Amino acid sequence: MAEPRTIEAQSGRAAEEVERAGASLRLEAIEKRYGTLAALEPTDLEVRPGEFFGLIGPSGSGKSTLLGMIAGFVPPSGGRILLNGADIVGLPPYRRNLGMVFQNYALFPHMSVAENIAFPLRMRRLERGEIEARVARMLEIVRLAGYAERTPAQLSGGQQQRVALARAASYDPTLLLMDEPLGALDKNLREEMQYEIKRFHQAIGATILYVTHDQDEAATMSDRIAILNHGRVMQVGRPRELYESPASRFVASFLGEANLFEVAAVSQTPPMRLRVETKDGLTLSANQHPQLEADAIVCVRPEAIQIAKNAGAAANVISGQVIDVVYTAGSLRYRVEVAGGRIVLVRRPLQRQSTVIEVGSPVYLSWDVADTILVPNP
Amino acid sequence: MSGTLGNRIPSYALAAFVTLFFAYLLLPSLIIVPMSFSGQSFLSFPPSGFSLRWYQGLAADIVWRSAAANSFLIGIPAAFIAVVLGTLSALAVERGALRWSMTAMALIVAPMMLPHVILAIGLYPVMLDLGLLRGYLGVIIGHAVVGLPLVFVSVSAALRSYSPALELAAMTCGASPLRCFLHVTFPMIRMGIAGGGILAFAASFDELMLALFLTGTGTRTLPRLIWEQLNDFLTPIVAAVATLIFAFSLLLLAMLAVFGRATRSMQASLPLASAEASAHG
Amino acid sequence: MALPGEAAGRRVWTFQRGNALLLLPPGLFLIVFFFWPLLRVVVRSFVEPQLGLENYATVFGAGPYLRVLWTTIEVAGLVTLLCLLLAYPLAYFVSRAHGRRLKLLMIFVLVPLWTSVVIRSFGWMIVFQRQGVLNEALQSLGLTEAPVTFLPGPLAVYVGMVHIMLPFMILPLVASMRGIDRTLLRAADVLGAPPYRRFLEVFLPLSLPGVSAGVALVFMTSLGFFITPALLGGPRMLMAAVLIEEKANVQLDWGLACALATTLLLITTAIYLLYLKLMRRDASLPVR
Repeated sequence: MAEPRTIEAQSGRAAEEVERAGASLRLEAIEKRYGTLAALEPTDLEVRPGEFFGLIGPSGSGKSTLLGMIAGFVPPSGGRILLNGADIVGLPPYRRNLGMVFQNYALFPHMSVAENIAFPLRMRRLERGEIEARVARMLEIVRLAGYAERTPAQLSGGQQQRVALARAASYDPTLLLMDEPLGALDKNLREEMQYEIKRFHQAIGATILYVTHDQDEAATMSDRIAILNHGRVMQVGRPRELYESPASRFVASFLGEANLFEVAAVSQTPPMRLRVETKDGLTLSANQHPQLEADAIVCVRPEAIQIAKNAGAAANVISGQVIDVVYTAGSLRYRVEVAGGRIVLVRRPLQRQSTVIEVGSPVYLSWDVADTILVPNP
Repeated sequence: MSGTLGNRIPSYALAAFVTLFFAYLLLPSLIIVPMSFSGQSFLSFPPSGFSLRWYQGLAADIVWRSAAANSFLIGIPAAFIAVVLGTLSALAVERGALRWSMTAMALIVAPMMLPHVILAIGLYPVMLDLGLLRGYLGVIIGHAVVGLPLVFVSVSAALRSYSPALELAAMTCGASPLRCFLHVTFPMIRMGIAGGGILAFAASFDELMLALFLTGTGTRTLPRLIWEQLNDFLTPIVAAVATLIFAFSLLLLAMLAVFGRATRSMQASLPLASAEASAHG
Repeated sequence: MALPGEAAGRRVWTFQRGNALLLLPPGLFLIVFFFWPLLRVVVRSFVEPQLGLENYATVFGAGPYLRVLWTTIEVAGLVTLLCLLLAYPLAYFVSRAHGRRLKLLMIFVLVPLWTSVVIRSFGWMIVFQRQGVLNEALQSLGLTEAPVTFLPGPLAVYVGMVHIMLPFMILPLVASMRGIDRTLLRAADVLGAPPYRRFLEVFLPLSLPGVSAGVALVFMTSLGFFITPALLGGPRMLMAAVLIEEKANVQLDWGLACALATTLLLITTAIYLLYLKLMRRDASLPVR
């Protein structure tokens, strides 16, 4: 691939020393208040160059506010936003030289596909030949080479999405913001576009900050994820870290499905094990936890649980009765009532030879000691 | 699909009602047309004889001609001022995230809702102080006040028809506010602006009350001249003028239909309705 | 343009703040040429010819003025009622139409709206005068012997005013009726409601936002009517706007004209506020 040239930022700030690999983004105590209401508590966050960084949380958690402040639409109430080390808080959006993909694409309906992609290049007053070359290259990358003269209205949702990607990246911004870019697509197309965006990320190499409320989407695509709730970052980490060692009850239940048990008492049992008694009256076995405070909950993922008619030799075994079984694409979901009337969710991958345990059957649920995840519950 | 009333009330009864209704709506506009070709010099019905002499008389009459010219000399600049200020106010209210946007909207639309007579007796001393009474500028400003809300409503509707994300997108693409307006906002709302401009012009063209207070003999508009004629003597010459104005307003309506697409023309007609209504005041 | 800085209270440029500034020119224009004149009307009503409530004593005291205000409200009320009764079935008919037919019907509603009010009142003069359309028709049908004097008179005023106000009633009604989900009516059918109950209990309540908007709009604008009552009404149908114009323009009694105008302003503003409240509750209506 030819080495793409970088564009001078319109502000006159030289962009050449910015590495092609993507910008670094640092938020320092950034916050947003509307009167006494805090849309975003003071937040620190670091996004590494070239990273695909997911930002997830329920609606109203502050993720859109955060994105708006980085893009320059929302003035922060305090703090700094450092893009490659320079504070951009005072810059208007058109001088920040970053790319953004909007939820409903925000393609200009009165312009053709090519004109849409050329728009940021025209705003930067590039030469006509240069613009044409770049538009052609972007159309190539998003595989819409034959669509240059169409209007956005003549394209499908997925195609419009790809045009939006091409427009946001046509001027080689080192940071791309994506605000729920797949929110308007249906499920199948969404999954296809997830790969498209990953591929696109590899092709352009920019840092991407990706906002979504869909945890699966974030987990599939991101190198790292920050989970927000009530205007606060709850946890930052790789998707697997967040899934396997959630730092709070919210993270445990927001990312994937979880069986949560309130802990009544914890005691040491050799060697290096913990005996956990839950408020439901279950006794579970867990690995030693380094920073466990007094209060905690236990999280057991539904897919970590084995279900069988006879008790096995696992570290954790509890008995119960199947009250419901549902087939969902590729897996079986059991609802099992255990001691104390508590319902436990179990998900088993469905193979051709696997037998379905019928409703009403007495069963034993078992899981490994490592799958008893202790979560601090402050 | 069966109708709600349709299967209880016979359809011919409904059809008859609708026909009578529209006959009533169109009667006063259409009745004027035959009168203007009358051969008699008084307005009795049915008109007898056919002649074009009222139109000829009209073309020769300097008073009617200058009133017609005044209507345009006042209507066009008034519409222009209304377009500029109405568009600015629509942008501010729809895209400015004003804290009191509903109040701002209500205040901007108010000139369209209040009886013109109140505005007229209020503007009279103001224009007198400014030395603008009976000149063109005074009544132009008055009509711009009345036209501004029409442009505001029309442009606001255009702005609401697309997401503000378009403008944000333009800015992240590197467009300064001015270029954002020129390349994105203006192309998106130009039909609304043109529609609002036509509405504002039509409002001025039909306005009587402000004209009664603010114009003088030299700046008298068509509605004012017709008004004076109606109070004094009725001749078919008024019918001829009325027919021409009627034809001209149909032309404006056709233009509006071109600028606002079918769905929007319905919305655009309501503010117009309000302006027309206040025109009685 | 962009203000860097760290201190609290810094004003960073944003799209919204930039746009909000655009309100300044139209705001100033309206303050000078709309709100200031209105204020002058109010002030003048208290200070002319001398400071005091004298003008209001005249308006609300014994004399013709209070009666004119009552006539104005009465006429506006009756016009509103007549408009509602006529417009409701028509709006229903229009709201059910589609495509070309809908367009045609809308044109029929819009054409009279577009015709100058002076001209339409002139048209009604031709209809109602002694040798007019109506008298010719009555005589040729043998219903009357001699021409009846309709002008000036209440019949002509009501016919003329209802004619002018009808589109204002039809348009909000059509807008709200078209917004009614037809599946609700089908649901009523399936649930066993006979047509008249389906109408009374489903359709009518759902069309009420349009009704209230139309009623407020028509009543408010009817209060300020000038041309129609002045041309067709005569002294018995004297309405507020006609009286104000005469007091100011002919008799040059500006204090009294301003007192009458202030009273009219108060009534209209009250109804305007009510109208805005109705609009806010139902944002689906075209005018906000």
